[in-house]
Amino acid sequence: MAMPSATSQTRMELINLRKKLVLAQRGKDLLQEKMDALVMEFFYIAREVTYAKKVAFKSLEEAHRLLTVCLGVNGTLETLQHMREVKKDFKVEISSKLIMGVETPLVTVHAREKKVTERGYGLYTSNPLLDKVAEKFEETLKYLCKLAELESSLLAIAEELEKTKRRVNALEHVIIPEVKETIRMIEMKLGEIERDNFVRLKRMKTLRERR
Amino acid sequence: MRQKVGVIGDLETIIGFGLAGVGELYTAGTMEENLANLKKMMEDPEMGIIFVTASVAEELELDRMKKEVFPIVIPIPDSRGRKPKVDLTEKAVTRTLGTKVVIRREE
Repeated sequence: MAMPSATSQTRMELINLRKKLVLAQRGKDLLQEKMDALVMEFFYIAREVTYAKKVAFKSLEEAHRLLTVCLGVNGTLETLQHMREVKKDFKVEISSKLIMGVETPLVTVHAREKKVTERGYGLYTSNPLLDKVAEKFEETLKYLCKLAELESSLLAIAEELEKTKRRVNALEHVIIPEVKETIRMIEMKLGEIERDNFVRLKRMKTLRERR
Repeated sequence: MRQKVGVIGDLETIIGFGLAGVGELYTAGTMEENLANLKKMMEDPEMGIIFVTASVAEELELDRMKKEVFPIVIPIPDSRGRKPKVDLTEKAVTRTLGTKVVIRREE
């Protein structure tokens, strides 16, 4: 617990400690407010993530089902070749935004509906199945990018939340009780000195009267 | 500027994402190869998001890796529908709240 002996037990120290206590309590209140805001944000994003995940994974599953059919009909090597011919122009733009001082990513997907002729593979060797697969995967990729943004935001907020919680706990359960205990000790010590003085004066007085 | 997207996964996943126009594609190989490929992509200053299929992610213990905010690395189900065993969202919720909570969102 407290280490009252480490500090000098003077009135000056007492005043300083009282200031420190007020500061610690205000800090705790502020951190607690931050924590509340983070928790709200956390739940909001958690809800979004769950939904986004469901949508994205379902879309991916459908895309894979289509792809399996396509691989079966067109052949794996042929599809692979078409894949190599596709223009690799899928781009995202990533910036960051701050939520309660936490850096979270913001993903913007620059993709529009592509026409069949814009993808880059030859039309003579391919068939509509391949177009469908490509379309579905483009759609899925958009969902997955959104999911990536949300999920990593969630993780960043969770980490910050944990840090804040630890700080609040340290203040609440260690620093504030410690300071309070030290203040109590110093007050007792000062009271003791005062009583000491009082008794000494009384005694002096009686001694003087007796003389 | 971070704008590239990368994938590590099985052949079907690679073909699918390649058809959608993703530039950086790596077929899953041995663990060392996967790790090297992932490192290479993570060190690329233009890389924005890296998708890793569930089995590779588990092999590399992705959820225990210390990572920065960028690039984003997230596990996705592979072509056989195998989902990541450890759901990062669920894990974060459990860690934060101390208990397992099912979060749902009305559509």
